[in-house]
Amino acid sequence: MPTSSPSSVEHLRTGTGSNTAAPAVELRNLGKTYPLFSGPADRFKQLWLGATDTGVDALRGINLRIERGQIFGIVGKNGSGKSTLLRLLSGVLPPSSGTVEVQGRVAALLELGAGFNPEFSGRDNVLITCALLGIDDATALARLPEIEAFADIGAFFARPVKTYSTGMYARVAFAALAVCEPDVLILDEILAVGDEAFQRKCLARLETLAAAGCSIILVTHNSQLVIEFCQAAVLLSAGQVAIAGDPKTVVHEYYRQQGLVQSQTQEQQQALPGGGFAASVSSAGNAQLDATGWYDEALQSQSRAEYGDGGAQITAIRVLDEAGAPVNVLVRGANYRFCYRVLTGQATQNLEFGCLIKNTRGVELGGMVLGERTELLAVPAATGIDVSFPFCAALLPGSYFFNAGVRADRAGALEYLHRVMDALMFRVQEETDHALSGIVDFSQVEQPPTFEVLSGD
Amino acid sequence: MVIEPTNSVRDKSSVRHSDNHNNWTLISRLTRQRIAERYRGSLLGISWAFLLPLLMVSLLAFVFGELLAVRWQVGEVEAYGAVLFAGLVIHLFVAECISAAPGLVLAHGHYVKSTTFPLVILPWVMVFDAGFHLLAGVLMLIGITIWFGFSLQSALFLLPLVLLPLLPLGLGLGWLLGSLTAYFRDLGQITNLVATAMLLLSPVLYPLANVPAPYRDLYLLNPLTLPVENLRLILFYGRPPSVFELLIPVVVSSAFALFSLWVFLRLRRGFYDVL
Repeated sequence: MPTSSPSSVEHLRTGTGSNTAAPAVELRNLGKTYPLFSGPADRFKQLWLGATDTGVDALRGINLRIERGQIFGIVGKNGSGKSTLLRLLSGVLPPSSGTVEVQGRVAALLELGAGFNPEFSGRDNVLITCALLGIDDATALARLPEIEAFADIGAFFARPVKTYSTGMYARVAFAALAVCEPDVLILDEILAVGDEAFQRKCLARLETLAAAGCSIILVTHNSQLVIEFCQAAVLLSAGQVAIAGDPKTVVHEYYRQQGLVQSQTQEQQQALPGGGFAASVSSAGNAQLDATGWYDEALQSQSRAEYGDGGAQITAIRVLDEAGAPVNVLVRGANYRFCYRVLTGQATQNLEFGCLIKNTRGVELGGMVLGERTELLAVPAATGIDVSFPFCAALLPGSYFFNAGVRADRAGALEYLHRVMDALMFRVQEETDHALSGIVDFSQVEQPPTFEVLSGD
Repeated sequence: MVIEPTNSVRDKSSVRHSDNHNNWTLISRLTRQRIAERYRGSLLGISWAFLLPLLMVSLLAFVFGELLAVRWQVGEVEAYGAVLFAGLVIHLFVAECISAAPGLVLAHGHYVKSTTFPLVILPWVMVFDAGFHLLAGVLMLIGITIWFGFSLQSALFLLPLVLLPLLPLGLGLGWLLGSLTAYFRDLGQITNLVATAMLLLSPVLYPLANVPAPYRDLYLLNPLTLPVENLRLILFYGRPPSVFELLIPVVVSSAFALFSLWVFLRLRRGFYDVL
């Protein structure tokens, strides 16, 4: 007889609105070990005679809390346990240890093409999905028009699912779940297949659902989405929680993980000749009022993160005004230069330099890339290259970040030699003029806005 | 009346979702779609449910009644066609279950991998689908009975009780074969042979009286035997079967269904791994 596992899963069906203090999802010391077996017959034997202790650890010691109405992101490399975690959350798989507690009705969209019967029409599959979610026939039929309208695939809705494109499939599957208003909605990379307009429609719908108290859990490789859209996130690494909390911090850690480990870059930096390159930025001195901005010592990026293969090192990252003085409080509409120095660690070919401005939510506002790749053919080791990107601060008051990066063509693929995210933080000075709104200042043209009152006839 | 697998303490993964599904809504939805699917695109549509058994009984009546000259008299009346048909409708139900059951779990791999679909309900869908055709067959059977000159007797009220054991029998086949075939694909190969054997080794094509005495008792082991005999008794003889004859199939089939459900619930935990 198999030993009874110490795991337990409880789904407490609570009426919506009651007991709102309880988190929508709570994972305690959750673990999953996939059994090892040589074939179906072997697995059959295990089920009756008791499984051996050997197995593949997919998840270990996961503790997480997801609040009601929270949009929660899960990031991590392939094989880090993301999908396993979603399967445990949705109940497809039982845990090997620990507990999953979910309040209310769970709907999951885990795999494209799965969950729908290919022979049945989209309409029939939607009705099955509704029944699976515990929605009675009358309600399901009443919601059908809304689902059909949301999916917006025309006559295909009445045709067998096997004739669908992946985009159509995702539309119908998402529409069914979203309109059925579950308490917890789990999505695995599903939105990636829809076109942009549909993605936006989905995101808007997800926000509406979240506002109504539905918790949304998504796995995505689109880190921007996690930063912009999620209120909390977790990074899984080798089946464990590497970091959880603020999405931006989590995503930066994820970036760092994908690249080289930081300590290694630092070692290489020390090995570089002239590695002690003094950053002239910090010596710039006191804050001073200036027509073209000033330098505020206190304004430093707290979220700097970097990675790279060590082939080059970016240093002396700074913003200079037109007179060449370092600044980090900018005046809207004035011109500046974003500068950094690249030190090559080894002889390199086909370098490419880049920068990127983001806002505090992580929205990528604009980037510049310097250099046709053929332009800098061969650079010997230990060479310094000063890079300068002139730009206009066409931004409204607020805080912004610069990324800096240097890439090289390695066997046909562009790879980062060094990339520094949130390398530099700057602010666009507050002003009393409130005629502009949003993020970008589009008024950088000669003429002011005008109006003209037309006569009555 | 769904035998709720969700009460099983062994497999806790199902406990959490017990409230997620209204299983009856799902079963009725799936049954209707399955029946509709079967006739979609065919010219005669649902008429096939009546036509197919009729063609089948004509074929068998020709071969056995005409060519092989099997005689089957009810009282003074020679009624091979009608008596054969009574056995055949029950055989068709069981054969349908036996051939569909091995594929139940295998064919729903897409559900196993990514949804919390309650696979345990699939035998219900299969049984209701087969039951729909059984019902069509029974309606025709009553028509044929009258056509052959029999008058319907009050014993006909026992019809539901006579057919009742087929429900747990079908469910049991679904749970047992469905779950086992996920691990042993070979099972799918031999089920048609088993269904044919059950037809040939039951009193469907010939009277039980034709079977030599030493084998006759063995025929009672065939789950078709008693229901078929009971059905003929109330239809053609207007006589109720004994309580013993009525209840034995119900009790045995129910025990079989419970055992199969137990096996299914045990094997369910490995479905994800082997599909």
